[in-house]
This record gives sequence, structure tokens and C-alpha cells, in this order.
Amino acid sequence: MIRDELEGVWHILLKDLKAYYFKPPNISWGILFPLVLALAFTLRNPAGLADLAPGLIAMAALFGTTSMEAIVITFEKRVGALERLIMAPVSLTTILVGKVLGGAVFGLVIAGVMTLISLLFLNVAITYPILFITVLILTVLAHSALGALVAVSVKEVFEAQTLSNYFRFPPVPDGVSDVGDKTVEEKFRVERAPQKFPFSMGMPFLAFIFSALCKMLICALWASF
Amino acid sequence: MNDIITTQSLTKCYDSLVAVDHLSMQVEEGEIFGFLGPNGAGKTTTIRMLVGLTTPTEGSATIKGYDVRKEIINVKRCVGVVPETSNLYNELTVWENLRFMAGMYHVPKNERVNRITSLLKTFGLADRKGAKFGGLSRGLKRRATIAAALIHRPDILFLDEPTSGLDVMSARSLRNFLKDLQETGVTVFLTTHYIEEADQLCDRIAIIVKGQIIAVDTPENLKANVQGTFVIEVAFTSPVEPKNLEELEAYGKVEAKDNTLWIQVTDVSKSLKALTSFADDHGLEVVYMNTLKPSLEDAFVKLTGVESEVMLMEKERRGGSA
Repeated sequence: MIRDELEGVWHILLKDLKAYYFKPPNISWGILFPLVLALAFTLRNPAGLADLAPGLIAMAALFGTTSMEAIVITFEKRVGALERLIMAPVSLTTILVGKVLGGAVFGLVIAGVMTLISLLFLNVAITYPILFITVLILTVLAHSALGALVAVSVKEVFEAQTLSNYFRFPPVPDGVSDVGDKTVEEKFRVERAPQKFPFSMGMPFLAFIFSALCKMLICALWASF
Repeated sequence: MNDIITTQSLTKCYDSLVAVDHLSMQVEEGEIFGFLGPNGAGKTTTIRMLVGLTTPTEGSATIKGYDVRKEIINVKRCVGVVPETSNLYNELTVWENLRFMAGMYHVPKNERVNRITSLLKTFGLADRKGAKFGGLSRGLKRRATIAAALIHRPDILFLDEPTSGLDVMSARSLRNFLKDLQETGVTVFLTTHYIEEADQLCDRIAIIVKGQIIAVDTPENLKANVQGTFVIEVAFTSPVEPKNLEELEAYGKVEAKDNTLWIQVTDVSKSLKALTSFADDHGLEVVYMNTLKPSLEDAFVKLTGVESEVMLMEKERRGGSA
């Protein structure tokens, strides 16, 4: 019996990864968003790039799991494909575990890519590898489960996206709170300082250019797929 | 024959709406059992309760002896379900979909490839096995969904409106397949609002209206309920004025469409004479005149009071053919 349930989890996990997660638009979004976020903070404080690495990895884990998980389940509910799983001879727990693991694996891969980028280009080192991996696994599992919770609360995909924003955006300031050894309060004080004003004027322009480039890249990937 | 499906006072309520109302029935092993009724009659809700997609509000049901409330996993192992909307995964290929279903239904690993290959061949999908499910035509999607429902060789196959939206050839081919499937010992439980389909395909039919079964019998016995009633079909060269139809209603119930009339009568010879004189009086030329035996549709109308036009409208709305 347990073997059947585990087999069910395995098949749901593989199916979700193949059908939804590992598609170029999803991977590009999962990687691009934290990178853009990092770039925005780096432009403000180029010296603190390495300090951004933990926040960058955390953002990847958060955005890679919560939103995708919520969208996948809501989409399947909408098109009736979730009923296909419910009709199978496995328990609802098995279905839920399979679904949550799908989102978690995706988040783990995206966070893994971010970790690799941090190690290779930001000149950072992982002081406690086992603790880092454990926390990362727990983080993606928790966020994926949060995505599933969002999905069961709504009917439409856009509702899932909106609702998941309430969970995924509040931790963003926390993720970058250690920029340049400054607390969140200190960082915000620096932003308001008069001497930073000329640089701040250039930020929206740079952000606009980068955002446009990102959109073009995503569209190109989507079209090619 | 053993009863493979039994329900006792099965009821489903959605707030104040009673979708299925104390439904009791038995389905025998190996038969094709049809649930006939208009939209909203409770056909789909009954299937959903029997396969564990919805919990009954009241009553009980067993499938192959397993209680649908307490032993739902065992129930799911012995049933295959084809919902009204083909709901495999658009992003996966036909082969991947079937392989996924084989895994979910615990088909032994060494049998999976053979079973999938055999099903693809049976349903004429062998050359489309690498195609994404989302890119298939509606008919091919239907076939792939039925193939997926049969991957674990279920004892009972539930089909919800199986030919809805299919072209004539696909619908006919599907009906032939269901007949062949019955010969292998599989019990088929289908819902339909196509009266002709139920007549051609089913060993027994349950007529359901507003969540209640009005009658359960063989198509022949249901038709026997309207013995002594005949339908005269007459076509004229031009349409009959609606005000003139009242004259004919003295002989029986009249239905008109374009140039053709259908009159339900009991005395055929008297009605034929009356029709001839009616045509002469109104300057109408008769193109043809037929006397029809009572159909299942007549039985359905008599038993339920639901006009056949209602069923026809549903058929047209769905854009399907029977």
C-alpha cells in the first residue's frame, strides 16, 4: 500500500516537472527575477554585491516555488486535470505531497542555479554547507506548501497570483536587509539622503531598460518554445 | 448475473438544490447501462459520487462490493472514468499521458509498454503517440481519454456523454468499440442525452429527471409503454400555416418543422384519411407520408413529460451528432 502511494507521489512529481515547471519561460522567470532584484540593489551599492548572495538565493527559492505551485494547482483545477489525479487509486495526501514536491524541486533547482552563480561570480563561500542545504530544502518545501494553500483557496489563476503576492513580497525587504552591513532602517535612510539624489534619478531609467530587455528575452524564449 | 453497482437512496444536495434524489438502482455485471436524461437531471453527479469525486449527502453505493464511502481506493482500482471533457494533460504527449496513467494505476512495469502500444493500436492513435495531447482534434482527444481510462483494465467503465461533440464517424466508431468492450466482460455505465444512442447501445436504460429515476428497463420494454400509439410523418411541398395545425390536433399531438409534420395518433387509418382531406382543403401537395412505430423518444416523452425538443436543443447547443 505504502509502495503504491510512494509510486503515486513519484509519478505526480515527474509529470508536474515535465508538464509545467521545466519550461523555458518558467526557468527564465525563476532565475531572472532574483537577478534583476540583485542588479537593482547593486546599482545603488556596488560594493555590497557579495552581501546580496543569501538574499538572492532566498528570493529564488521563494519566487520559484510559491507562485508556480499556486498557478499549477489552480490551472489543473480549472481545466479538470486535477480530477484525473483524484480519480486515481491514491490518497489525497499522496496527491498533495506529489504536488508540493514538484514545486519544491523546481525551487531547489532555481535556488541551486543562484547558489552556483553566487559561488562563481560573487566570490562568496558557504560556511556551513549542511546547514545551508537543510535550510534551503525546508524553505522550498514550506514555500511550495504555501503555494498549495493559496491554490486551494482560489478558483482562478489570476486570483492565485494575486493572493500569493501577499505572501511572497513581504519577505523581500528582509532578504536584502543585510546590504552593506546595514539594517533595513539604515538602508531606507540612505535612500532618502540628499547626496544620493542624482544617482536615484538614473535608477528608474536603468530599471526600465533592463525590464524591457527581460520582457523581450522572455517573449523570445516563449516563442521559440 | 451479479449486481456490480448498487445504490440505495443515494442523494446529493448542493445547499437547497437536490441534484440526486434518493436514487436506488442496480447495474448487472457485463451490461451496458445507460443513464438517459436532460441536462441538470443528475447524471454526472451520480457518476461523480460513484467514482469518489463527490461525497454523497445521504444513502449508500457499492461498486463490486466495495462501499464508495469507506473503500474508495478499492473502488477506484476497479473503475475507469471518461469524463465529459477530455482531461488528460495538454502539455504531455499521448504516450506520456498513457505512461503517467499506467504509473498512477500501478500497472506492472513490465506490462506498461505492451498495454500502451496495444491501446494506441486499438484506438488508431499509434501514429500520433508523439503528438501533444493539446494539439489533437476533439475526436482523437476523446479516444486518447478512453484509452487512458482502460490502461488498468477496469471491470467497469464510466463514460459521461461519450459521443458529445464528436462527428458522426467518430461517434459510430466509439459505439462499436463499446459493444466490443462489452464482449470482453467489461461493464459499461454511460450517461447520454442522445435518445437514439441509448436505444442502439444500451442493454438497459434508466430515465432520470430532476435527480430521480422515472423508469429502468430494456429499450424494448420502455417502448412497449407507448404501444398502441403511432406517429404519422407527412411532408408537404410547402409549410403548413400554424393556425391550420389546430385542425389536426383533434387527431393527436402535432409537431411541425419546415414542411414536415409528425402527428401522434392511435387510429392510423382514420388519421390518414383526415390528413388527405386536410391537404386537399388547404391546397397542399403531399411529398411523402409514413407511419412510424413508437420510438424510445416517444417513450421518453410519455414517461418524463420532457419534450423531445428540449433534448434536441441540447444536442444542437453542444454542436454534436449522435
